Amino acid sequence: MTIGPDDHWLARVEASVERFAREFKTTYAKTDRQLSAMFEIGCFHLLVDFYAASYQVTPEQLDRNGDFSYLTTPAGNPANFSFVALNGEDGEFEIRQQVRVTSRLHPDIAFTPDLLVLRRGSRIAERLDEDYAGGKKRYFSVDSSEVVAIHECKSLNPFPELLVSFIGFVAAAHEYFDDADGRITFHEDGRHLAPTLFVGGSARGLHLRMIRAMRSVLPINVIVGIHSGTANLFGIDAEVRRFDIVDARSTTES
Amino acid sequence: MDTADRILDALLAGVHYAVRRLVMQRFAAMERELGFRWEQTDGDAVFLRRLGYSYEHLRVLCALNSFYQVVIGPLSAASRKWRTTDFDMLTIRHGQLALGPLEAAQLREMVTRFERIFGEIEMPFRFGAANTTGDLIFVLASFERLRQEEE
Repeated sequence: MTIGPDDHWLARVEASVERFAREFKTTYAKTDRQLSAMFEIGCFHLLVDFYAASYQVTPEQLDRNGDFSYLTTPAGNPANFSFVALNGEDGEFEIRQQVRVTSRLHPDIAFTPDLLVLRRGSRIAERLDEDYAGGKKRYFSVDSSEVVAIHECKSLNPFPELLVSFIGFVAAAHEYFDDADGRITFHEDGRHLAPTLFVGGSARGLHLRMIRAMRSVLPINVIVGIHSGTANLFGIDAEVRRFDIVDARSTTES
Repeated sequence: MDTADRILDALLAGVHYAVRRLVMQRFAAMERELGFRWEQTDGDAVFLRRLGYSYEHLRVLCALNSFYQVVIGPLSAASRKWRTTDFDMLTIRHGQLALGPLEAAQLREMVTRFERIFGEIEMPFRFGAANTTGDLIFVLASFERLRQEEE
């Protein structure tokens, strides 16, 4: 075996890349928004697959062709887009995308996670607000008390500021960030995935230590390696925080 | 124009300008770090130079890495079967974008072919997933040290 590149290395790689580009350009030529949506859809699949182990998973509100209509902006009306219904022993829930959450901290604090698990039938309020699009567009949001877990998707390499910023999302959305108050219990067999930051790139060294530390002191996960497929959410050695809901509101009354 | 520039041109010709800009921004950042490390007495860079690696060889790996991180990575994530469920059979639509079993299979083939480029130049694919130029140089040096030991 040759150590180091041989004389033809540069010519070989150029020829390989040209062949690849000729054959696959139409497959990979997406817009930046489409690439971002594709990554988010990959994370969405991962989350649905996680829940499929404990819940009956049913896509709802499919379009007229039976396709799943994916919402990627909080400006869209969630009622017009598809979602995934979850039916399990602890009740009914739904996985939605891009629904704005009104924070438990203050009604004027609102933000939109990429993915979220809600109690089934959560009320997504709509109103006109003079401070939003001049009062011309409807403002949709769900109260944070309805949110089981928020999840965020970043098609980036992990870096400390990215990881730490996710703590703000969770603090704004979840009472159990401060105090679980007996309504949820974290344990390794929990049915729900704790709020998770899905990260495209992989981590090593200090970043992995930081991720482990964050998971040990906060009710969150940071799952790296979504691009390369090294993310470990299901394996027996998967290090993820899970929880169960034990309060009565987890079961829909209908 | 050197090989890395021609490679990026080939990959990005006709690609949406915003995506092209993202790839070029990442490549420029990697190139700046490479310039610094290559000129300094970075132990791994010195080792690689001794093996015959040139600045351009590393620029090429940075170019492939940049394209992977911005374009191939997210598409790879979208195409992956984490577990087999009925949900995989559904087509997800977002505007003009459709992702169903057929599209996912096409994406998987594309990802496999991109990974094969690394095989054709006798490099492990993990260079595509390196976070920074420093990581890339470290991984490449480790890889070459291992090859040396095996010989």
